[in-house]
Amino acid sequence: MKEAMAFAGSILILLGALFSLLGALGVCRLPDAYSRMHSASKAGALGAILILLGALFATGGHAWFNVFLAVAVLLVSAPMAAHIISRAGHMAGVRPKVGPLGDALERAKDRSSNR
Amino acid sequence: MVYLHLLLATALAMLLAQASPLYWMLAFAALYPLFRLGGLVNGACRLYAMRIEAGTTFICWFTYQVFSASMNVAKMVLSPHRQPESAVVRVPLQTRDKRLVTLIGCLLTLTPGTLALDYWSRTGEMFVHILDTRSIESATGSIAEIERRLMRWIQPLGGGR
Repeated sequence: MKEAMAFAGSILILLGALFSLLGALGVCRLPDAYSRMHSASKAGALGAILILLGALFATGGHAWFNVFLAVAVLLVSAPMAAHIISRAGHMAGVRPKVGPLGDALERAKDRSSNR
Repeated sequence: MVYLHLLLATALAMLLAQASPLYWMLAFAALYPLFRLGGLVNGACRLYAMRIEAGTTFICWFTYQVFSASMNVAKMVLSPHRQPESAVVRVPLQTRDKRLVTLIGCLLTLTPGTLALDYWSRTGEMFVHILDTRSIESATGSIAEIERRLMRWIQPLGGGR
């Protein structure tokens, strides 16, 4: 039982590290600031949560309160940070690279400032 | 009602085993049929049972969404010649409650391919950045689904809307 727990913990920590790596690669590879926030917020948060769950398994459930708190804080702070950074970027005039659907926020801002 | 459930679960867990979180969760789950049965005679009980069901469904669905979001980003990162085709779209929200809008924005950012960019409380519209418009079938549909599932949890009877 104890060995199985340790094994599950290692697997989870490894998976979490893999997701964090993918998130970091995404920050390098994706074209503009907004797409990079996607990668940093989603893959980064999931990676950190998996590592924390791995720590929970590795300690045999003793650290459950710490893990619970840390996961809750991560789930709140990661999307908030991504939202605030991208919103500030848009306000400062960083234009997203968009496909055929375009940038609805920019159009709406133009319309309300023309009025 | 939720305090009663928590208190009963704690008491049951301490009585039968010890107050460790695993036993506590088992006791919490074991007490659920009691509330379901109580719902047959008591309206408040029935509402609470419906809330538990909707909440559990929502949490499972959301965990799946978080995983699929990361897989989505991973696929995008690992496919070498594929550049994402992003867009910023405008999504009207049903609710005007600021706390709910904050919650929806947070949850939205963790689901695949969407990132809450801005919210105009004057018009009740949220601006959402979509990572790849080709892989997501309909952004508005997926956001409406989050809202629908969340509202089923918070207001199981429709809340007069």
